[in-house]
Amino acid sequence: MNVKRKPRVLIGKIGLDGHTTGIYVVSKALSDAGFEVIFGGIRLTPGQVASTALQESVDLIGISSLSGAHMTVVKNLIKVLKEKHIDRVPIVIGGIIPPEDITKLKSMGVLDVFTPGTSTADIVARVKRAVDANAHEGRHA
Amino acid sequence: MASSTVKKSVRVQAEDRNKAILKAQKKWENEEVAKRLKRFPELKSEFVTSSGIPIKRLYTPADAAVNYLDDLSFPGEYPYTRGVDATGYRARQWTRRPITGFQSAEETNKRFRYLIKHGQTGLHFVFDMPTLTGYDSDHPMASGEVGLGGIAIDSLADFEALFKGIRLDEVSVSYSHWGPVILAMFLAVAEKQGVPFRKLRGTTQNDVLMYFHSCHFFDLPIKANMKHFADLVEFAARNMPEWYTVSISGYNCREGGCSAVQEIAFAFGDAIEYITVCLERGLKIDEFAHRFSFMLNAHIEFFEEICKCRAMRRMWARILRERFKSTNPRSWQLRFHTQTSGASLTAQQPLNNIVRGTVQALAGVLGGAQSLHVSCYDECYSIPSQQAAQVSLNTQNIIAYETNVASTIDPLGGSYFVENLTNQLEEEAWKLMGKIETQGGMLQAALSGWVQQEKADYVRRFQEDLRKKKRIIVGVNEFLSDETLPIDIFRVPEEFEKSKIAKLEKLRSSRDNDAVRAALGRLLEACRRGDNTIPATLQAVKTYATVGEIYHAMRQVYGDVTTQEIHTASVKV
Repeated sequence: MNVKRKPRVLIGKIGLDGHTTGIYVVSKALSDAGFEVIFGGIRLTPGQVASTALQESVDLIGISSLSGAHMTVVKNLIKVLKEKHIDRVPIVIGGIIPPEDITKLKSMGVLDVFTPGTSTADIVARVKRAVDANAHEGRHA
Repeated sequence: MASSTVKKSVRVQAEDRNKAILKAQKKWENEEVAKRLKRFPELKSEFVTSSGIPIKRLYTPADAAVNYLDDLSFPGEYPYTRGVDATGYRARQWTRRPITGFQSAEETNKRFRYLIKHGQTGLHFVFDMPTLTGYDSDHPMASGEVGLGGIAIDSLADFEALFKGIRLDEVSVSYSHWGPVILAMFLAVAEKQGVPFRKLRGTTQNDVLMYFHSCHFFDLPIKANMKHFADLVEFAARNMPEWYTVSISGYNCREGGCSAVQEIAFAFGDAIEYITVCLERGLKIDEFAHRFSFMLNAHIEFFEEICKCRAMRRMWARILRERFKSTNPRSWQLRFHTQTSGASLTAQQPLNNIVRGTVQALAGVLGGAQSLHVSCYDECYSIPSQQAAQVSLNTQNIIAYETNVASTIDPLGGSYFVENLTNQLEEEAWKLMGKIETQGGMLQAALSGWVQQEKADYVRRFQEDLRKKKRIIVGVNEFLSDETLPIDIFRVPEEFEKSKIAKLEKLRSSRDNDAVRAALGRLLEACRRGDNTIPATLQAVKTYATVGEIYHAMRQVYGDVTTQEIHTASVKV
């Protein structure tokens, strides 16, 4: 029997940024909505995110960034994910992201970006969609 | 004998009066209120503050149990509930203290000089994350973070650029950092300018426990930072009498998410640890406690914020006088800077934030703040635009010059509601401080992750309240609109990091590296011996040893931040 497991998401922050309120709130909202949340915490390196994603076979990686370092953070993360051949896993970003960067991030491979003002209900729905779309194609780390 | 009889008869009179009021109130509730409720039920089943304190329909003298002389007294007199200054704002208004800090020391210096030219004498500056956590701009952990959210400092060369053309005895400087490194740079600049240390005025935020449990800034193990805390206090007590050695920041704690009661208890919990470590160092309470200051949040719940300031003044006076046996009234007086809450501002309909800032700033002023900064309306997007900074400053000027609210001291004192809420906040905060004690004190409570979990639970409850509309935020869960405001977002140029690194490399190749190595060696020895680290750090910064190199020397002795410490930021899902 193939027991369907809960969709699994990894939530965390890369680099020195210490703003945690967003990940506290979003992790709870996702967990309440039936996701299994791997709380990666803060001060992660891109390498740590990649290995946790692989170990836990996550269905999605969610990175929070409020310091303005998101472009570098994402560039470094995607590079490592490619090296480890797990760049199929969808990445979403939450935080203070200027509009013109959203397009750039998406062209780099980020699936979705949640900016200030996005409701948790909206985040849950969009994460669900991202994970479902990917599950069809059998993608997880 | 005679006076106790008088006191007693006053009490009896008050009790009789209260009985009469309560009786009449019962009648009012059963008749007038009941009649009204039948036609118009109240909008909510319960009205509560951010701290969960129930708010009653009406307050009367029966709710405001204060003994005027013991609990309120006069401004400038114990227990300072009504203020620490005998003339309030009538002789001296609060200080306007906006925050400044761009990517580079040079840019920030330009801004400072502009402000000074326009009459500003209080400067407050902030640093980027690598500077805060003890890494040079070229460290892998600093990648992408250089110059964001504050000034990038690698060495004394940056500090010299920061204060170029600014005499340190003519300004008062406060800054968000801790420990010996930044202070040493400041001292080195003072030496070069020929300004004696005793003339330096300013504040080191230095709230190492808060940085640990609320900002999650990790540079060294927390125990090393507590040791450095005592180093700074001891050094200042001997050499810098005008310096505020800590600004205990309920502000940051609150911004990360907590109630007013938690803000009080966590700030005092931190303060008690600091006092303890200084006493253990051998300092006497009145050698240092009078140089402790506070930074409090002016959040959106108007009355609760005002009452918080009043309650904290009274509590601090009692903690210092009764618990720590301080005999210097200056040590009993809680002085604070307040900043309006950035976290209460919304990305949606950002102009509404000007209104929020106004209400919050008014609460800060009615709470008796010594200095104030109004967070800018574009805070959710960026560091402030010129226009937003101007509106922020003029919010203060309007309150100060147009409203007449600053003409009498503690104008809300004596309000039945305000006195009741002040009492209740105090009572709840003492209870929470008791819980912190059972956790082993604030250091232990932060190391175990207890504080962080309490705060995460609060923000999640808050979010849940928004979802259920138990709490309304205009533009967020009610009164929505699609209006957006084009906001100019301040960006650090992409080349900045590269040029900062190039500058750093040039410095490393042009300075006297033998002198650097020798000074770092002496610093390492000083750390190893447990000496006060400030003199050796001062010698090291003068050789242009970098922030990263100095921290590296310290980490060789204290070790690096542990995974367990970083993990305190991870809470239960």
